[in-house]
Amino acid sequence: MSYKNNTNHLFLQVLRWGCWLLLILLVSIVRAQTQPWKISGFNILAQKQDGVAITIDQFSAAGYNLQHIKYRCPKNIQIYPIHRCDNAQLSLKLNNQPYEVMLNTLFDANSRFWELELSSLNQEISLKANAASNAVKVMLQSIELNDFFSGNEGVLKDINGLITANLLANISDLTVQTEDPLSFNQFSYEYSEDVVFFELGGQASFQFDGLQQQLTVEIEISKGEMLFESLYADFSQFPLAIQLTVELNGDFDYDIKAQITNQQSMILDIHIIVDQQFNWLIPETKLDVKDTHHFNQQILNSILGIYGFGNTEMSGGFKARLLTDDGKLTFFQIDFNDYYVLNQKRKIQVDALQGQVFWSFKQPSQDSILNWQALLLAGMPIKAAQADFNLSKDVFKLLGEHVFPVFDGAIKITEFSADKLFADSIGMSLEAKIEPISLKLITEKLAWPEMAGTISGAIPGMVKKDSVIEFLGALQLQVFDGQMRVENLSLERLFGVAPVIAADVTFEGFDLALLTETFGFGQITGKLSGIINDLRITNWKTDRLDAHVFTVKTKGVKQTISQRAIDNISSLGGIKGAISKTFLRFFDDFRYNRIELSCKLHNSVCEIGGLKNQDNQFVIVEGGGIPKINIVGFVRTINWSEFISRLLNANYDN
Amino acid sequence: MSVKIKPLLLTSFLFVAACVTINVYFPAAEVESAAEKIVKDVLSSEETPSTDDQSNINEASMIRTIVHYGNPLNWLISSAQAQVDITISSPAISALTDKMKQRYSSSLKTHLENNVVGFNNKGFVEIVDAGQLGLKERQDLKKTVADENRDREALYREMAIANNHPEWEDKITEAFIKQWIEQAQKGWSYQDSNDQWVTKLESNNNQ
Repeated sequence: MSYKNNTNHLFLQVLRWGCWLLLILLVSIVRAQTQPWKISGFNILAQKQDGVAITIDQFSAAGYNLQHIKYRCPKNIQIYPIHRCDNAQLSLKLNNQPYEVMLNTLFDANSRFWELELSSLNQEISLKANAASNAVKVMLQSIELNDFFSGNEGVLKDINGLITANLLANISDLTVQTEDPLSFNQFSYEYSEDVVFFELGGQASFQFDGLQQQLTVEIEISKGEMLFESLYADFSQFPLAIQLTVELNGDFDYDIKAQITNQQSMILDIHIIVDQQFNWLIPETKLDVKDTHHFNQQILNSILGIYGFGNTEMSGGFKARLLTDDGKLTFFQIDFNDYYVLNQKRKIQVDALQGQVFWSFKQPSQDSILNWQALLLAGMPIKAAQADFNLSKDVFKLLGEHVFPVFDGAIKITEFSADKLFADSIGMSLEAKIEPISLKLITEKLAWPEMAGTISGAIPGMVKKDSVIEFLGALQLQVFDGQMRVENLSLERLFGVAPVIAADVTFEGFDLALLTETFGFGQITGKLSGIINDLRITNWKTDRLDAHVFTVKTKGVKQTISQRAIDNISSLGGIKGAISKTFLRFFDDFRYNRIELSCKLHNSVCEIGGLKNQDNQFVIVEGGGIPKINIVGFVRTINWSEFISRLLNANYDN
Repeated sequence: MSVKIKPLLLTSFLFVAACVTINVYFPAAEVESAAEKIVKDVLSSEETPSTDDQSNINEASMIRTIVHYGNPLNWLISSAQAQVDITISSPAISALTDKMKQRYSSSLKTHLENNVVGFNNKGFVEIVDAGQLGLKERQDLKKTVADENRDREALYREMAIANNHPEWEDKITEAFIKQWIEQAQKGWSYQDSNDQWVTKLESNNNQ
C-alpha cells in the first residue's frame, strides 16, 4: 500500500492547532467547576497606580497545564465578589508556548455569573463567552495562516494566507462552526515544485462535531492557481465549489468524501482515506463532465499538451468512475455522451461518440460498446459504426465480426485481440481484410494525384513494440488490376512526433494503362512489376526508398507508349517536347520493348537508373518496332521533390 | 618453416585480425562528429564565436582527433573509416532539428541559462529547478520539456535508421549525451555520471 503525503487537511490542522482553540480551552477550564483542578503559586497584587494583578505559577485542570499565568487589570478595582475590568491583559504559557491576550471581564461571585471578551494584542483574534451560554464566539480578522502552522513544517510547510471568520464554539457538545462564511485570501501552499496552491481566495464555512469527530466543509474557490503534477487550474477561470465531510474511520484514519463542482463543466466526487501522518488513498473517484469544451479548455488541454496532444478540441460530455485498491487502479468505467474530439496535428477525430467502456483488473469486466458518426484514425476516415469489445486485465478483444466502412469500401475484422496491453511489447492477433476501396477516394484524401482502381486484400497480424507497430506477415492488396504485397510493414509513433510508415513492397501485373490514366501522364500499355525496398514514409512524406520498376512482357498485352508519355518521361530529364517537336509527332503511339526505372532515395536525393546503366547513362525506354524510340537518361541524381514534381505536376502540354 | 618466417606470419595474422575488427567497427568518431554538428546547430543561435584561436588546442574534439591519428593502428584502418558517411540530413532529421532549434531559441535557451532546466545524462532535458517560475509557466515548461524529449528520442532513432543501422540507436544516444553536455554553456546545469546536477564551469570554446 503506497500512501502519499496529503496536502489538503488544513481544516483538521485548524482544529488541532488553532490558536483560538486555546482561548476556548481557557473558557472551558473556567466552566469546568465540577472538575478537579489545582492551582499553585497564587498571588494577588493591588497597587493604586498599576492596578490589580493576579499571578498563578501553575494551573492544572481537565488534563491541561497552564504556567506563568498573569492577569492584570489597569485599574485598581476590587476583585471579589464582583470584578469588572476593561482592557485587562492575560498572559500564560501552554506547552512552553507563550500566549497573551487582551480582555474585558465581568465576574460576579454572588450571582455566579461571568462574562469574558478576549482578544489578541493585535486584535486578530477575539472571543466572547459568558456563564449563561455554552456558546463561545470567536472572531478572526485577517489571521496569518503561517502562524497557525508554525512548528509543523514537517507535515505542512510553506503555508501562507489570510483568514477572516466568525466562529461559534459550543463548549458542552464540543461543536465549532462558522457563523457566516469565512473568507480566505492569498492562501498559498507549496509541497513541491509540482504540487503548489498559489494565492487561493474564496469563502468557506464549516461545522465540526467534536463528539462525533465529524467535520463538514463547504468551500468556494474563485481566485488563485493550482499545479498538481500535470494538472494546472486557474480558479479565476475555473472556480470550484467544494463540499466535503470528514469523519473518523476507526481509531486512526479519516474518511473524506468530497464533491468538487465547477458549475459550467464538471462534478467530481472523490473518496479519500487519510491516516494520522496525512498519507492518503483514493478508493473511488467519479467525474461527470457535462461540458467537455470548457473542461478541456481549462483543465484537460494543458495535460494533453504534455503528452503531445495539445490543441485538441472537444465537446459533448463524458462520465468516468475509477476504483482503486491498495493504491492501484482496479476498475474504470467511462460513459461517452455525444462526445467530439479533434486533433488536426495527430489526424484524430471522433464525431458523436456514444457508449460505455468498462475495464476491470481483477475479474472479467462487463462488455463495452462504442458507436460514432465519424472517426478519423491517423488520417483514415471510418464512417458511422459500432465497436463491441471487452477490456479485462491487460487484454482487449473485439467481440464478433466487425465491418468498419472506409470510403466506399470497408475493413472487415473477423477477429482482433491484443494482450499485454501495459507491457512494452503488445501482442496482437488479427484476422481482417480490406473490402474494395476506391483508390480515387484515398488519393483525394491524401491530396495525391487521383488514382483509378480499388484497393483490397488481407491484413496480417500485428505486434506493438514500444512505439512501433509491426505487421506480421504480408499485406496482400489488389491494385491497378495487379497484385501488391507489402511486407515488413511497420508504423512508428503513429500518433506522435514524425510518424513513420515503413515497408518493403513488391507488385506485379499492374495495368499500365490504368496507372498512366491515373496520372494523366500519357498512355502506356503493358504490365508493370516492381520492387520498392526500404520504403520509409516520415511525416506522411517519402523519406527513403530503393525502387525498381519494370515492364513485363505478357502474352496478349500490347506494349505501346504514347507520344505524350514519351514527352513526359523525357521531361523528367528536363527535355521538353522530345517527340512533339519532331516529325515523329505524326505517330500517336510507339511500340516499346521494355521500360525500366529505378530510384534509390536517400537524403532527399534520388539516384536514378534504368536499363543498361553505364556511367552516367541509362535507358528508361527501349523501343520496339519501327519507328524505334529509345529514351536515354544522362542525369543520375535528382532532387526527390523535383522528381516527384516533374512526374506528377508538370504541365506537360507546355 | 624458418625461424624468420614465423614472426612474419604471426604479424600477418595480427594484421588480418585487425582487418576483421574494422568490419564490425562502429564509427564512433564520425557519429560523434555528426552529433556535434547537430547539437551545435541546435544550440547555435545567439552564440558568440570564440576569438581565441589558440584555445582550439584544448578542445576535446581536437584532442580526440590528435589521439585518433596518432595511433599507428588507425593509419592502417583510416581508409576504411574514411568511407563511413554519417547521414545527418534526412527529411525526418531535418524536421526534428528544425523544431528543436525553434524551441531552443524561443524558450529552452532562457530556461537553460536560468538553470530551470538542464541536460540530463540520458540525452534529454529535465527540469532542474522551476521554483522561480509561476505555476502556468511551470505547466508550459512541462510541455516544452516533453516535446523536446520526444523530438530527441525520435532524432536518435532516425539518425540510426538514416544510417541503415537501427541497432546503433543506443550508441548514437551516447554520442549525443556527450555532445549536449560538452556544448552546454558556462553556467548551465547538467547531470553528471553520478546522477548529480552540476553547473558547467567552462563553455566549449568551439561554440
